[in-house]
Order: sequence, then C-alpha cells, then structure tokens
Amino acid sequence: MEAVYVAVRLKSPDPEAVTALYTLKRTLPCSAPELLFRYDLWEFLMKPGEAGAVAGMITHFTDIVNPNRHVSFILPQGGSPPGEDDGLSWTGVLVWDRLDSRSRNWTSLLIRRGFPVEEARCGSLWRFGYPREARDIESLAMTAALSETRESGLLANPVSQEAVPWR
Amino acid sequence: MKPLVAVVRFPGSNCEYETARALDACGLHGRIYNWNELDEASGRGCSAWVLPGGFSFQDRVRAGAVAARERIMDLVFRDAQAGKPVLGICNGAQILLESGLVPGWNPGSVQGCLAGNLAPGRTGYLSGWVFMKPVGAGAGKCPWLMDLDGAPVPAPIAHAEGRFVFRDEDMAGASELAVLRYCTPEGEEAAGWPHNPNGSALAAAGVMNTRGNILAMMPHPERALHLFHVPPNLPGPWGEARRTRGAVGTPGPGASFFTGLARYLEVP
Repeated sequence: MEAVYVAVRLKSPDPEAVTALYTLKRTLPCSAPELLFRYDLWEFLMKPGEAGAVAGMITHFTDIVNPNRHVSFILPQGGSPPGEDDGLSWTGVLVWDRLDSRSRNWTSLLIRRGFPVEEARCGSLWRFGYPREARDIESLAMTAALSETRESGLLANPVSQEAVPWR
Repeated sequence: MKPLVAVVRFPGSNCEYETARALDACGLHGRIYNWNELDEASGRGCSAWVLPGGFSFQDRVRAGAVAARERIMDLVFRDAQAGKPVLGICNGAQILLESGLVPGWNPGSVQGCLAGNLAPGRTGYLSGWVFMKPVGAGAGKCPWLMDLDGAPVPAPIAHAEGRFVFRDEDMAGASELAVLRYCTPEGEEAAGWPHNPNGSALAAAGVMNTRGNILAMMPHPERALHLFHVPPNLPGPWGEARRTRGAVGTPGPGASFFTGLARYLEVP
C-alpha cells in the first residue's frame, strides 16, 4: 500500500481557524501562534502502483474537493502546503478521530465505486505560524493542540482524538 | 420567591427560550444570561445552571470546545464545585464534557468526549425520538432525575456529535456515572442501532459527575415538556396517552427533569 495525502482548504478565510486562533490567543498567549490555518487532510492508502489515481478520484467527489469552494494539494508526508507566509516559521499538527464513521463510510464508498483504495481516512491538519525567533515550535504547537484541561490546548480532545506532529 | 435558574446563551445557542419556559412551567424562574453578562450572572446568585442546546460558536473546532473556555464557565465551574445543580442539554452536555465538569473525576481535566455519531452507513446529523431510562443507584442522588420513576422516557435528539466516549481504563467508573441510558420502548437496554442512535459507550444518553449534581444529557427534555410534544405514533405508554388523552395542559415525559429540580430546591 502507498499512502497519499491530500490537503484541502477553503478558498475564503476558514472561520474555524479564525475562531481557534483567537481562542488560543486569549487562553494560551504563550503557546498561541501568529497565524493558524486548517486543512482537511485525507490519507488514501492506495493499492500498489495506483497512487496516480488519487487526482482523478478527489475531483470525482465534490464532497472531498469542491472546486468552487476549495483548493487542494497533494502532499508528501510532513510536507508544507504552498502559500504559507515566509515571514514565519511553520509547523503542523495532525488531528485524527480514533474512530469515525466518516472515514469508514468513505472507504466503503470508494471501494464500491471501483477506485483502487484500501482505506481512506479524514482528519484535520492545523498549520501553526510562529515568529522566526520562537524556539521549539513543534512543542508549542502540541501544547496548543492537546486539550488535556479546559485551560490548556484546544484542537484535539485527548479521549477521542489523537494529535501528532505533521512531519 | 421562585428559585432563580440561570440559562446561559452562547453565540449559537438555540434552545434557551424553551428551556427557560420549561423551568418556569415547573415552578422555577428561568432567566437567560448571555455568555458575556458575567457581572449580572454572578451578582444574582442563581440556585442552578442550565446550558441549553444549540451550536455554540457554530461548533467550530469541536462542539462545545470554544464555549468551555469562555469566562462564564468559570462561574458555572465555581457553583458546580459548590454543589449547585447544573444541567447540560445536547450542546450544553458537550460544553460540560469539554470543561471537564463531567465525568469530573478530576474536575477541570478533560476525561470524556461527545464524539461524532457512529452508526452503520450513516454520517453526521441525526434527529428523531429515542427512549432512555435512569439506571443504577447513582441516579437517585441527581436532582434532575429525582422525579423519574424508572420507566422509559421518550425525548427527541438532534445532534451530530452525541457519542459518549471514555478511555478504556475509565469505563468501569463511567458505568457508575452513566445514569441515563438509551433503551427500547419496552425498557430493555439498547444493544445498538436504532435504539442506541449514535453508538454511545454504555448506551449512555446522560452522564453525571461523581457528586451527582451535574448532568450532561444528549436528548432534549424541554422539547418533550408537554404531552402535545409527543408524536401520536410513538410506541409505549406516552404515545398511547397522546393518542387517547387531551394533550393540551398535560405534562409530557420531559417535565420530570425540571420538576425533579424543583423538588430538590424545595419549591412548594
């Protein structure tokens, strides 16, 4: 199997990312980034030699990529989506639901439609932009992401979700 | 003077009026406070809190996650720790879990979640009537459940993220706190879809904290306040009552949650 990652974001500013950024700036000023972007991140485990089929597959379903609303990028694991501000240092955190019917149902649908997919999984990729002088930004981002208490991070509930550095 | 019960309206709440009316109808005084009316909410000294249903902050990031970090939740947290009754309905329940008030083994720590519905072949929002019943001795110490007699209670649900999730090591403890469980119209515990509509662990429809003063529940009792709210085709005694009795002015199955609080607060 070969994993192919597709990052999908809104063409317009993402209200979810804006709310998350301002909530983090208010509640965790030391760990909050300067800028925060959010992408739907799709992981497609493709059958051997079939990675090239992903581009056609995602344009087939406007629920995955709607060209009127979304832009999408095929990324290598840990890769940076284009368009991030060069004045900042960037790191990413990937948030997966441990169990979700969306991924299950997409896997089932794609296989039924004859696409060469073993498994599909959908999560959120949060991209954190910190000032250049900030140190250990991956650790700052994980602190901001993991919601262990109501006064700590925000982006992932540790009981039902896992947050991992995107690298 | 009727006990004051604060109903918190966050941006995106949409059940605050019917919740306040349900409290009023049961001998209490429900008053709606905006999430940023901190001085008014803290100055009036309410007897209990209700976090109503809706989509606070448009469910951005995760249902209830942003509201749980608002400053008014500091007041709810303080009063809950002092033992005042707190009820979270649907989105309110999500806020209580994201606040760490439920299950509350270590108050403030996030130890549970209301995750996305998990049902065969279905994704997303779910709306319909379900049955639930109080389970276990713990239910008796929860003010909101004091007037339930153990019979199945029908109420509507309307949510996309209503599946109670706990860590494996916490399941035994959660079992004692999952005092409201989905069941069949006959009262047998729900084994799966459709009676457990969202794949909730332990078939939990409502979970209280260890002290019993806080209840987070996904079904909407305020939408089952009157008998005329009950669909005539609902199976069981409530549907039968709806079909055969005058529905106007007759309490519905959801009224018990609010009359229980009134009894707890010793409303004459």
